[in-house]
Amino acid sequence: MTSTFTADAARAIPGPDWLVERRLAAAERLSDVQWPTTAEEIWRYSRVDALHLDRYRPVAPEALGPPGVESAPGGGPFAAEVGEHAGLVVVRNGRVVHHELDPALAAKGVTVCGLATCTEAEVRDALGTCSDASPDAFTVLHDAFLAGGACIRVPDGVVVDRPVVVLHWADGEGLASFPHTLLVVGENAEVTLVERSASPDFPAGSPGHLVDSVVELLVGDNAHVRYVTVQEHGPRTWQVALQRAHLGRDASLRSSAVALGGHYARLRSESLLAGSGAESDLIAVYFGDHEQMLDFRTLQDHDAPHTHSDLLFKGAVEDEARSVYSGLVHLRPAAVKAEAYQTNRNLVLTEGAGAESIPNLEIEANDVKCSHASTVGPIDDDQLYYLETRGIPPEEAERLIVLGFFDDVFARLPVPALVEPLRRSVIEKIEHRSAG
Amino acid sequence: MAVSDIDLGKYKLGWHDSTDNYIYTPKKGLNADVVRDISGHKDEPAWMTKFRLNALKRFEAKPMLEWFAKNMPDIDFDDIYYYLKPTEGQVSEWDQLPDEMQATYEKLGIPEAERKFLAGVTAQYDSETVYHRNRDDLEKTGVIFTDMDTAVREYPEIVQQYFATVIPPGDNKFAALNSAAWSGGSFIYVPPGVHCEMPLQAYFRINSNNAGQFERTLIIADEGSSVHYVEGCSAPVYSTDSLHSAVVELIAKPGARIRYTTIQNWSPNVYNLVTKRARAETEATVEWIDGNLGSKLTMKYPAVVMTGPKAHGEVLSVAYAGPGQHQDAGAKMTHAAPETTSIIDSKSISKDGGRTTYRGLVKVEEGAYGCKSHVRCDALILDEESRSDTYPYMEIDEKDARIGHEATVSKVGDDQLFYLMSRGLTEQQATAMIVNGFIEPITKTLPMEYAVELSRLIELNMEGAVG
Repeated sequence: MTSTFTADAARAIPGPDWLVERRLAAAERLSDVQWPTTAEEIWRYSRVDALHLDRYRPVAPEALGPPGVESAPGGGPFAAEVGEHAGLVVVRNGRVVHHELDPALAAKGVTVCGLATCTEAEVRDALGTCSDASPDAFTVLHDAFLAGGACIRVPDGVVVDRPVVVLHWADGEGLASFPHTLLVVGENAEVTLVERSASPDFPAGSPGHLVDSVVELLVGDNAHVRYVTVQEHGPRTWQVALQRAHLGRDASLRSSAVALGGHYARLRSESLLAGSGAESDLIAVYFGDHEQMLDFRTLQDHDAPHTHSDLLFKGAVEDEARSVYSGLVHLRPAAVKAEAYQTNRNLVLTEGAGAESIPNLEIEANDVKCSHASTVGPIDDDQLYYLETRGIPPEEAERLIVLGFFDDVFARLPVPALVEPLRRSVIEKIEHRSAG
Repeated sequence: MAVSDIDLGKYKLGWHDSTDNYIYTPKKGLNADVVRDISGHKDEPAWMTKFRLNALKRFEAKPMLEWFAKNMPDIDFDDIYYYLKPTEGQVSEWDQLPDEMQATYEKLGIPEAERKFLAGVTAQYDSETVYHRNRDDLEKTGVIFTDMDTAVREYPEIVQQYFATVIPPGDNKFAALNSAAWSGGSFIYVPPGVHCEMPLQAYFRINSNNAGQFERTLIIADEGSSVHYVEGCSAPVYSTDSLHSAVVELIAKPGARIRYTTIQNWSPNVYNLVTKRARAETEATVEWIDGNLGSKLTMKYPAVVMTGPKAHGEVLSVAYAGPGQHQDAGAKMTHAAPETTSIIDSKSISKDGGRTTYRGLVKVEEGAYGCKSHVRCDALILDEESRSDTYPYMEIDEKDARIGHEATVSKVGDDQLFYLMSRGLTEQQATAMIVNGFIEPITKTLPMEYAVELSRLIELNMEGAVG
């Protein structure tokens, strides 16, 4: 497909034999993969035509920094914001450089480690389950250059009462990294996973950094997972990410995404409700400014009776920024008595910004409840007027309204401790405009 | 509302007349010779022949879009008659038609409707308009209502000014096909300030097997005028497929109002692939009212391009998909000027393995400030075999635009059924009543006769329905 992402380059990355073999198998598939274009419906509106893979190269093995929390700048304070946590993994350019876990949980059989240190037997049944069920050119590329990543396993019946934190840091101009997070949660188990992805700014005209990531959440029968991902990439970073969950019988997922950074940041957020009674709640807050494009593709895939899913994505764009929300609710014939809801709301704050919203439904079962709604519009004049008549200056009033707009999503964030810091990040985004 | 439970589960308009006395039938398939033949038969000016041949090249060059190909894997363009001329010339009295043809139109109820409430009627039979008549008082107002072929001959200036300006031949593969092979359709010109009080109607009947019908309609409502145009259609049931691919262009000049109503009831062997688009200029209003009940596959997305400030576009549609049917319908609204508004209201019902799809686009261009659009799609799925899809696109390039979309998918509510059945209705009557209530927001916009007809068709299709 390209001159730099070759089978030889895939082989050169260190790792256990099973991982090298897995990479080479993917590298072989890669030669048959058609590079996507915006002519394809799933890439419509995206910036994939402007993404030139030739400008990137895989991370060289020697390019790793020393291990430690500090190798993910901002990660230290972020981990502190999460509050008391059960475990921590630091991933730099797709490779785990540090991991720790409360020994009491380790004693219960919980593991938090790097993928590359696992044996084949430990991950064989889990790794790739989600990405193989929803492949595209980027998941194949990911598999061909997968160096490692965070692996978290919670055995049957174990409740992890504090969050596990994974910090991703991507640096290195012109590099492509392939972070992977694999979460396997056994029957009747519970865990909260918080991830943050960040990268620095790069000089103007630089290709920046390409992050091609995969997050797999395997939620066993009657297991409960809360998941938060915060994306604060630098303004020249490209991100193409898949986050996909498979839910068993009576399992639940409460997933939330906060997307603030990146030049082009695409997130596919998917839930497969495979077991009867499974529940999925997907929420997101996104805020784009300058030349950013935030691109979300969601899937609520119901393949079992009595399943329930809800989705609420709210975003704002200003300057020349654009956002894309394209979501599908798929109720398969097995999804008898399923309920699925999907809502996307967009605020367009300035002239020149734009939002695309495509909430799709495919319904193949009849005894279901399903609805969706989406809106795109400016700040409501009446609300602005109301606040201004109370003596609140226009900029302040606008700030309040935007924060109020996001409030119902923040209220549903599974880690309440993160609400305040994330609100502050949104405020910073709003204020850059009045400042600049 | 009277609830009937007449046993008419099957398509009732599926008879066909003899084709032995057709004046002209070329070979199946489409090529430059066939196109020249069609043009020659119509004695057309050279510009139209040239237009057709250019369009043919476009048709041949354009690939089938992926989702078109997916929807109709079996279509065979070479197994279609592209021009079928049933009679020589056009008549203005029903009894001048061949007996069998006249009987067909009587059975369809067209002459009766004409006597009661229409200002003018054209009737197309396969490729040609066989009957046309206007009420005497219509002509006095200066309104021109005729078939498209006559318009090319008699009103060349107006036709050349507007023809293919809203839907150019290269717009899509089927617009190109129509531009190459078109025959029949309506032409209407309403002079400034004239209000057509009674609807104008066209009825399209396919009679032959493997028939292609490619009518072309152009309606121009000049400044401050208004017109309501109604079209109906039906075809015999054959085991082979027929193709109907129309192009309809509407132009509403400043302050004008056009309402375009379609009751589509093709037989279940017709591919119905239609391009319909309107241009609404300053403060003009265009409404598409679209009832899709028949056909094997319908792909039709009536569009309004609002080019002048304060223009308004509306699409109200009802789709019903029964066994083997796929209604892939929707709407397209382009807000290209400030303070334009649009409404899309779509109701669909799928039953016995039928599939309904809403596919739509609301686009707000940069600079089109103060626009509003609201899209609502409701789908009823009546059994486990049926399916419903919703693909609403919203592309908003303007800050000051308020755009909303909402959709629901449900079955007939058990509590609603229980309520009605406890009052002594059968389950079938109750279901028919609920479904009629579901589509009422659309039927109430129709002239009374059509509302009754649409309700009746829905009731017939509900035969045997169980919630």
